[in-house]
Amino acid sequence: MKETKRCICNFSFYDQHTIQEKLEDMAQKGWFLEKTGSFLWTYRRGAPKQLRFCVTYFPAASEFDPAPTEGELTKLDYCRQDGWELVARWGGMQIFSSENPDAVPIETEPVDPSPWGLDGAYQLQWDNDVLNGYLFFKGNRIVELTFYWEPTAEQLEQTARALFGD
Amino acid sequence: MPRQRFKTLTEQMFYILLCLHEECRGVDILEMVRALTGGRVNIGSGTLYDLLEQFVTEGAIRETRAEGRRRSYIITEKGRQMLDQEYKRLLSQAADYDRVLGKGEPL
Repeated sequence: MKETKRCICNFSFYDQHTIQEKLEDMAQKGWFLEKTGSFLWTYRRGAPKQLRFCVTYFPAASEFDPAPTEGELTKLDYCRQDGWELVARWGGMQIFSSENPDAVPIETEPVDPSPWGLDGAYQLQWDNDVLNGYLFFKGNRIVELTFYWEPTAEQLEQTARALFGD
Repeated sequence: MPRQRFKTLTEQMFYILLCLHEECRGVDILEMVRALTGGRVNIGSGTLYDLLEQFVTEGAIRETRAEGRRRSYIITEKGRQMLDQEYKRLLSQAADYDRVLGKGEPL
C-alpha cells in the first residue's frame, strides 16, 4: 500500500478557501499534506481525521529565502500559541492545521495579500516558475504584465505607480 | 475606496490598544482581549501580529523589550490619542442612538 501520493496543485496561489477545503477533504480521507511545490503536492497516509486548515500569506516571505525570517517566526509563535501548527510553507504562503474545531481563525480581519497595495490586484502563478504573470486591476483598467524573474514588492510598486499613478 | 488607515479603529484595533495601556507581551494580548470581553471579541493570531506591526510603524505603540522573539509593547501618546478619538466617536454614536430611539433598553 502506498504511503505517499503526489497530486497536481490545480489551484491559484491566492485561492485560500479552495486550498483549505481541499486539505480538509484529504485529511478526512486519511491523506495529510507533507510537502508543497509549484506543480505537485505530496501527501502522506494516516488515520483519517477532522482537521481544520488555515492558509495565510506573509508578503515579505519568498520561496528563495533560505529560512523563515524573524518576523515570520514571530507570527508562527503567535499562531502556535492559539493552537495552529504550521504544516507547510510555499513562498509567502503558510499552511496551518488545528484539531480544535472551535479554534479562532488566524485572520479575523480582511487581508489584502497583494504586497503592493493595488486595489484587487492578484498574482497568477504559472507552472513554470520562471514566468511570473500579474494582472493589475484599477478602476475599469486591467493590465497584464509578465516578468521573466520574480519581481520584488518594490519593483511591483514602481510598476504600479508608473501605470496608475499614486 | 479602501478606508483611510486607522482613521477609525475596528473593534480588534481598539482592544489591542486598550490592552497596551500597560506594558505587555504581544502574544498575551490574545487571551487578555478574550478575558476583557468575556469571549465576545476574538482576535486571530495572524491579525494580532499584523496589527502590532502596523501600530509600531504608525507610532501608536512602541516596543519596550524583547526576550528572544517574545516582544513587549506599550501604547504611545499618539496611540492614546487614537484610542480616545475612537472612544469619543463611539459615545457620539450612542448619543445619536439615544436621541433617535430614546434611552430605553435596546430590543
